[in-house]
Amino acid sequence: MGAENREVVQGTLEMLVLKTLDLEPMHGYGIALRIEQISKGVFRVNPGSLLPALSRMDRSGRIRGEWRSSENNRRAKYYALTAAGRKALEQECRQWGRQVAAISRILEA
Amino acid sequence: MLRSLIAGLRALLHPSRRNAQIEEELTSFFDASVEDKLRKGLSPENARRAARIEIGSREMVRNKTWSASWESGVDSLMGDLRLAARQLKKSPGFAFAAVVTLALGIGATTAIFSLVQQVLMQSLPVAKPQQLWRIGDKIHCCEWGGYTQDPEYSIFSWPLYGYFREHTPDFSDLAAFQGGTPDFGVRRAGSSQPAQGRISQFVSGNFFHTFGIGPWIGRVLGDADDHAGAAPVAVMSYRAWQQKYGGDRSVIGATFEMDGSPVTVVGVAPPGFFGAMQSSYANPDFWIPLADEPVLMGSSSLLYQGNENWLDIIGRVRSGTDPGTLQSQLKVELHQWQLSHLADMSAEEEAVSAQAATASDAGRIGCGTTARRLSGRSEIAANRSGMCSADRLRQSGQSAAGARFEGQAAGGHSRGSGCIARTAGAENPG
Repeated sequence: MGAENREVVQGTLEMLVLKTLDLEPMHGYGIALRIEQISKGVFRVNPGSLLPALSRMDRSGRIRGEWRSSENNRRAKYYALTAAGRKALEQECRQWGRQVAAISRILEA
Repeated sequence: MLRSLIAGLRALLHPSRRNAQIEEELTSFFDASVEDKLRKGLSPENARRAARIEIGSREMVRNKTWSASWESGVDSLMGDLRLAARQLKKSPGFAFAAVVTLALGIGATTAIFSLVQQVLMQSLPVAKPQQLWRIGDKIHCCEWGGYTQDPEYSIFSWPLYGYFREHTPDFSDLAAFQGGTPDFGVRRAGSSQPAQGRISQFVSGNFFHTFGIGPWIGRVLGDADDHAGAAPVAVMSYRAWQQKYGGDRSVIGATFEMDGSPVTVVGVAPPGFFGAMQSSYANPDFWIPLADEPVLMGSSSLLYQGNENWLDIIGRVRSGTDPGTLQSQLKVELHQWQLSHLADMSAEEEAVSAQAATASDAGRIGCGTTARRLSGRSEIAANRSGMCSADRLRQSGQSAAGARFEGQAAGGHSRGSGCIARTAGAENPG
């Protein structure tokens, strides 16, 4: 892994997953891949944190998992955003925006 | 929330299914990862290796996913309990000792709390208990003959009660009730049933009025019932009504034979009113006016005997009355009364009375603890906010009914004792 920290910023994994699923339902590996790709490899999500997060969010009703067969006929659990998830995403995005703006202001002061 | 609960319970009931689900998802993750790497041109072997590295320890992932749920906490608790049970099974002697110790400890604590709660903490179901004061502070249950009492007058004759009632306007109401609670053989008139033992208590006509207690059904006693020649009546306790007469409304107006004398039941007291005292077994079933005492007791009647003290007195004090002043006044009244009965007294009693007349501190007769009461002001003030005075009435009454909790009552007395003992619930000023 090297010295560079490729973990997602603490506390943001759920938001990133919600955002990823906002585009389309996806299975676990797809989510991890998408986050890695869009972040241009800055973040890498390992299953050790992703699967517990998915399980937690499924429990809290923000996403819903469903077993389906994937593109090439393999079974995979696809996760889709629920209405509650969409609302949570909106809220977390807003909050994140506020926090980032505040942090930049502090760093640039 | 509900969803999480249901899913959690399901997982707890079928842990293997839950594990299988996590395992399946991991496998699918792994497969997807391998496929992706194959697409990127890795050899199958390398792709699998890379995917395995990427995922890391499957056991750890499974564990972390499981721990993210609330039921994992329950599960580990169950694990701990199972371990504890196994350990206890290994040393049954220790387990037995531990269980017995805990059981005794919890049992004793519960028992003591129940007692304290019942005796000390439950406030009296009466109106404005902070206005109620008892005259006398000692437990002289249930009869005391003569014109002096040691160390102080605490139980009174009917003539003396009448004297107090007539001469003490600071009491808006002054009620007397029998110190003891005798058993009468009672049956409904005309019933073929044998008479049943019922606990009763002679009380002054204003007894219910003094406590601010109205009827549950029918009516309560009134002063009109408490005159010689008035038709004998009684009020039944709610408990007796429910438990012994099945809540039958026809008891109102019905005649009961009490030791053979006909008495008409005119009402039922409200639930929760157990009388002027609370006890585990001697709460009155019937309250009967004092005026009926000669009728029911016949030749052993005490009512008109000035030297037969058998009544406890509780009064409702008018607001703004200074207890100290009231106390001094009662002391004077008692002494006056004693002086007017010198002719009936024995030589010894006379000597004691005379002694008291000259002593500045009323000494052995009269309100002997007046001084203590006055200097004990701060104690009384402390009592107001605490619970210890909450049940003076009940405490004294209880003890009066047979000194059953004498040790306890004594504890209470030492705190707030005085000629007039505050009788009731500081914690319940309403």
